[in-house]
Amino acid sequence: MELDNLKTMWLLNDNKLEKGLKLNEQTIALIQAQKVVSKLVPLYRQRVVEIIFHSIAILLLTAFLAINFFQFSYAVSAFALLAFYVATFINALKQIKLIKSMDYNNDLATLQSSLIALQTHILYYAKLSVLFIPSFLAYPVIVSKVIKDFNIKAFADFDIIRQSNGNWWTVQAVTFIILIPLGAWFYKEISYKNLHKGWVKKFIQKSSGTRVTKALEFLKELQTLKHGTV
Amino acid sequence: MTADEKKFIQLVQENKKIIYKICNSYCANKDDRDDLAQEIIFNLWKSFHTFNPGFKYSTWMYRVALNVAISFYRQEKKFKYHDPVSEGLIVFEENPGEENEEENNLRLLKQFINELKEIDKAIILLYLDDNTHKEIADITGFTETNVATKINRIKEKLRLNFFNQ
Repeated sequence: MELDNLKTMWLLNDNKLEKGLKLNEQTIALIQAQKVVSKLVPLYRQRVVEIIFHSIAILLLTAFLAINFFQFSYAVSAFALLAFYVATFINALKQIKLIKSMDYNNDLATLQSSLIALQTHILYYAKLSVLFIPSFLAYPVIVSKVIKDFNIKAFADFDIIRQSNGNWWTVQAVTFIILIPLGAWFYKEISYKNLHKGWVKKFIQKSSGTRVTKALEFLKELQTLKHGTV
Repeated sequence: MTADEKKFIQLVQENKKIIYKICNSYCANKDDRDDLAQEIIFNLWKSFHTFNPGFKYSTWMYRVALNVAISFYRQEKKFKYHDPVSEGLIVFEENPGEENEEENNLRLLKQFINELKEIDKAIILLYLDDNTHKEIADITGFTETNVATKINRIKEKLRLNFFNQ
């Protein structure tokens, strides 16, 4: 079997198709007439809900920050959480922009990469959550301060910063200093480019599932073909 | 029927082989092939109004059809845009007869193509349909050098498959 014969063989296929292929024009007319909803619509709605949720969190934290701006420990706690919600808000906006720009007219590498970016959205949350682990220590600080400010009698002495004589704040500050650079490194490492590293692949599989891992492997193949050398 | 609708049907009629070959290479069973054909037609119709006249119709058709096929294949037919239509969209009426050596080789070639990875399948289909390396690069978005390398590797793989048969 000579390889030069491949195209000749394929031509035989073309000739057979030329004779025997029938197109059902009525079915095409039906497809044209259908009022169809893109499969991306549910995804779009999900992102809108995320944006609403993140906006509420941003508004509440901004209000808290404004009220407690001159109380350093509370202000920093609010700021840390605010940064998390702003990041997720921006990401949801980017996803909406991506959904709106989806066009099957694009070349394979571009469109498939965009689809993978939508499909692997969950991994962004997993990575961001790891990056912001130290910031989550700020939740009890803020919640306790809000409860205290609302003068709920049962929780009158609930202010963590005061109850711990400032120790909580020290723990938080130390955690920040140690874990933020570590989180930033981790965030950068978790990428399709590092799928060859066992621990990266394992993290992606555990946090986001096999489907996301496979999508990222496909993305790696696409990007190599588009920019690299195979 | 509007002039646009008529023109679209005519275009699909002229290029139905592209859709048929892609559906056959990406789906193993008839129901999946029918679903994929409908999904391709739907997406072609949806992007028909934004078609860039700078491109050839066949290039546009390959782009849309392969994009849908690869996404469809990856999603394992989880999504449907529309209600299934009972009648087949593109039907191939084959004349039954004895299989000669050429036809046997063609059947094997199709089988080997079906076994390739999604991207390899797209590249070899484009190559066999006589697209130049530049056209394949344009449809896929890959560099011409990578397209050429890939074609050689896929051909080598096919050669080995035939050899081991």
